[in-house]
Amino acid sequence: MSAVTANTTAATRQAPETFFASRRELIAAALAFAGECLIVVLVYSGGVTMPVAVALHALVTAAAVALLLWNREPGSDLTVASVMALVIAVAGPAGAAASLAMYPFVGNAGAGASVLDAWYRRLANAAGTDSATEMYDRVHAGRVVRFDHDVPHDFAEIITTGTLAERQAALGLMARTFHTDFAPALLLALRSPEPVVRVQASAVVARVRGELKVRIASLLNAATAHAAGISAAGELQRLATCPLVDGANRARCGIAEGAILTRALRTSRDVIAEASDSRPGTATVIERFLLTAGRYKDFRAARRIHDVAGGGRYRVRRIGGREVPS
Amino acid sequence: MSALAISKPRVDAAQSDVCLIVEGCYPYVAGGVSAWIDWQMRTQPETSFSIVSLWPREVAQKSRYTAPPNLVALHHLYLQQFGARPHSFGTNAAGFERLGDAMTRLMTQGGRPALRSVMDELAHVRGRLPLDQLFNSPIAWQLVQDMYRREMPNGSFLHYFWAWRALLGGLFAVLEFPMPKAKVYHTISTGYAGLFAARAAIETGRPALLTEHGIYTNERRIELLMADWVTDTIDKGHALDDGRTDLRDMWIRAFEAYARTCYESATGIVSLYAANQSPQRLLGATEDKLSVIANGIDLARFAKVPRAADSARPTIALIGRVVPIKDVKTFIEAASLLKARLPDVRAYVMGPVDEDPEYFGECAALVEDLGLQETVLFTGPVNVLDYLSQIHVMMLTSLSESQPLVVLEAGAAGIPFVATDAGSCREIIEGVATEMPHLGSGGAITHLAAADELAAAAQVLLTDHGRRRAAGEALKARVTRSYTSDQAANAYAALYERFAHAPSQPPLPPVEA
Repeated sequence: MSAVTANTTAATRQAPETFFASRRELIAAALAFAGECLIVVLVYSGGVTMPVAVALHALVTAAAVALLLWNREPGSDLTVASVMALVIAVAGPAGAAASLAMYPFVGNAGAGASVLDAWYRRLANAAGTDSATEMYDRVHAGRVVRFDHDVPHDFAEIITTGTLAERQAALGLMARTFHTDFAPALLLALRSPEPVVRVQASAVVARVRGELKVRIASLLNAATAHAAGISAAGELQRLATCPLVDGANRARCGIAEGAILTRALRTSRDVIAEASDSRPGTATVIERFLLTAGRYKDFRAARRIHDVAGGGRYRVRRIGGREVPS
Repeated sequence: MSALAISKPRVDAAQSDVCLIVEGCYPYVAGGVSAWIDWQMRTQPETSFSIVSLWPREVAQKSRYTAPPNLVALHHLYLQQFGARPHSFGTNAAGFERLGDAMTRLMTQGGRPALRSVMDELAHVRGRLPLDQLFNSPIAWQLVQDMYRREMPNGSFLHYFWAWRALLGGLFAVLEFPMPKAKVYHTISTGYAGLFAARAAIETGRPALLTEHGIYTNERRIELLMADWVTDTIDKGHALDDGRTDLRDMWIRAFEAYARTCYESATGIVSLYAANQSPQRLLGATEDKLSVIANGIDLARFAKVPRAADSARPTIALIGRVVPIKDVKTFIEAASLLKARLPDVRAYVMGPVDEDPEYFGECAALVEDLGLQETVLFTGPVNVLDYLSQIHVMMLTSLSESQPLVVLEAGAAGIPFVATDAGSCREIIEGVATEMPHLGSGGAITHLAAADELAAAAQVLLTDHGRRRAAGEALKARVTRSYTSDQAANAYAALYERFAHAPSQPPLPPVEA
């Protein structure tokens, strides 16, 4: 449901017209008609003189106008009421009869106007915020990240010094969004003096090990099929040093990482271009491997490209007729 | 057993001495708590028992235990029994605000008065509308909207709605179920079983006893914090101080509130080991209610096991299922480190290997990768008594344990133990601080997942024969003193005796709105 629809419905529901308010024109016309008929009867029966009859007509008209205007909300639509008052004042009993007769047609227009009126008022924010809008705002505001909250910079610190609730929450986050960088914090939690934390950490370790196992199998398969890129080498390098991975798998990861990089080094241009990759670890892996392979020139180029790419916007300056980044 | 398989207590059912309240185990799941319940009934032959067994819903299950003669009734309580067929009755929600208030308080804070309020309000409602109709009526719809606004106004209503139905469905079922007559109500966990015991204490005035093998609330918290099926409907990023209540928070808070209610209502709270009391205290368990009754073993079975000779091939062993929670890979890595120092060391892994074949395959591959084919041997399920005489040092590498019987069994045979700091291992191996006189260390405790520490501790015990024998004797003395089956049975018999003859408490007065 859109906010506009919800608000319109709510505004209509919030301000329901009373029976009197919605029928006031009908009641005024009926009373005026009755009064005017009585005056006519009195005149024709000789009960009153003409000046008195005119005065009585003025009284009936005034009463009808008062009824039509009584307790109206400021700024509400007076079109139908004005026409009725004018017709009764000018045409007397005929005018009252005409007002009565035209009510079925103008009455509905009046009800429609009240809905439109409420809508206009809501558009102008004259009626305040209704419950549907409040709910929409609350739900919308409730679902987004609040940047005024502190995000832990170091899970290890939380595990060491945080409250029990914070440590438990941090372990939950580590389980759901695990990264190999979290491993030291997780090992700290396994050694926590608090049994509750140790138990939770052990459950996280059990889960994470399962996930790492699947990931390693996938990476090793890709490496075997020569389908793994440089970024996979970076990930394998992290896994090869992750203390949550068993020794045999750590060794496999290291071997696969070496194989990927050795293959990639055959096309050193691509390798060096990959060094600009902003993912942490990838560039380091490449640089380390170029150093190990004794390709110092390529290493310097990769380091330069990585630094430049990591520096964000840069200007080009001209030195001795050559354009160089700085 | 089939004669006992009645779904609800008979009105004329005889009163039992003890009504055990269990969730998701006896008699349809073997081992663990079910085995403990079977042991409890068989070691108290003079005491009559009835059992209320809680399950999510009715399914055909085969009993795994033969009923002992002193089990007089087995009742099944199904938590999700109200279905989802909408009722058009109860369209007038006026007068139900107090029920909404009471339920919100019970689900967010818990406590005995909160449960009493809900019971009172539902007693009023029952006259107008049966609970199964109320649960699916327009009134329930109004209640869920009101409680959503109070409890989780920033989260997804759709998710709240289904969580509300799951949580409240269980609560209504627990409060609706006919109460069996008993002198003592004994629940084996908090959660819904704990709520049922709390209700029994309030309704009948009889004592409620709680024995926690693990800490139910912690187990639920761990599950919920890691669960992928619980959707995060509020994006909190990695912030830990964001106070907006999401679905996980709501579930965890509800289970904590239920536990608080149980702890407040229980007359006695028993743990298997002292370290488990700290989370109970955090949720309001008072010191005067807390006690420890450790599980015990039959010493006679292990009394005549001969010790492994000093000159025999150095042997370590892990007894347990080959599954990830036992962290068998760390044991294998420890064996590898040990082999580098003691080349002829032998390491047995004794336990079923078919529960997680994939994990067993990885363990076997690790053995091969580390060149330990002649060192690490998977025996499969065996009679451990046949092997104990070959073993110099036992090991336990589990990531999580409660009170592992294998430590007690090895101790009874005088074999020292190297174990991770899980469950009550430290208490069994090193003794509690109040142990008088202190019997000495029965081995060593290491951190979790620390192969190097395990290997170092095992090496010391394997090479220093005098130390190993002393540790074995210390562990045997401790097990004999504190961990026998008879001691545990006697402790429970005394508790039952005391509570069964305690006068009934007057009903808790109605709570003012």
